[in-house]
Amino acid sequence: MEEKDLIISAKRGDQLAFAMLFKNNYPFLVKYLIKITMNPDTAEELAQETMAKCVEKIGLFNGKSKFSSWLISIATNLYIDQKRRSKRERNWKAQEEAFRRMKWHLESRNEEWNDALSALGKLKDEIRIPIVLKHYYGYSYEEIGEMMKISPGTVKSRVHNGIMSAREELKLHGEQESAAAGTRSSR
Amino acid sequence: MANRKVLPLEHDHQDENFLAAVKKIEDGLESLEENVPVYTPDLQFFEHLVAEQKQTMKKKLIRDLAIFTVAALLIVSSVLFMLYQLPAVFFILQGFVTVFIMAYSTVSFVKQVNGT
Repeated sequence: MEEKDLIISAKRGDQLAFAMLFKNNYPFLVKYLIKITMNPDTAEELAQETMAKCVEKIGLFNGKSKFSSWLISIATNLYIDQKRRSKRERNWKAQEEAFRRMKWHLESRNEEWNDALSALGKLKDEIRIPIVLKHYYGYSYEEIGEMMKISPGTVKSRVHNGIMSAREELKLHGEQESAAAGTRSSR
Repeated sequence: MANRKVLPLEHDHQDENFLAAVKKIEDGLESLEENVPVYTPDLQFFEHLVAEQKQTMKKKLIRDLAIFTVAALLIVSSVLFMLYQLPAVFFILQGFVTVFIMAYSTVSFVKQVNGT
């Protein structure tokens, strides 16, 4: 059964069609949520909440975008709403623990922990999310604006400022300058 | 013209740094994508999740309908009571509501006109 047919059946109330849609898109959704939350546990919880919301709102899905994009859009708004509602102080200890777990996962597969991930983790959510959507998933500023319910101009400036902050954090400016100085002195 | 020759070079240098930062971020995200394991539950888990959510929605709908019905009955019965037992209060209330709606609409309209 193709995705289109599954969506039509799901809209008619077919539970199996819903389940198949969710199973097919679950890894994509969780991996996206890991990238924006930087926490695998939060990502799994949010994925389940997203699917519950999706059952409620399936009637509103117009099929213009891909189903996975629609899921991402719901997940993003759920995450932002949750963050806004629970304005309690950030649990740095838990976040640190989640970071350590992700580092461990990467290192256990002989992958180095990329400094860019630390830099990305230090950015605010409303800045990190558009960066991930733009530079990893390749959505346009307009699409991201629709997903996050902000203007494309705001998305553009958030992405730009976020990359500039990450660049500072990665000390790319300093590295290149010192490299340039090194070549100058060697000449 | 001499100044214009320097500016593009600075921009090029900045663009290089910017693109390098983007590349590093993309690489980092790619390594997350490939190396953080995600366990996908079986089909039954998702079916159960959908059934549970549908049940919750049904309960919510019944509760909301019950609240709506009780509120509507209360409002209608109090209006009818007023109409037959206290007609003066009923007409005063009608007048008050009409004035309120007119005033509210006018204020909203004026605000909208001034805002644009």
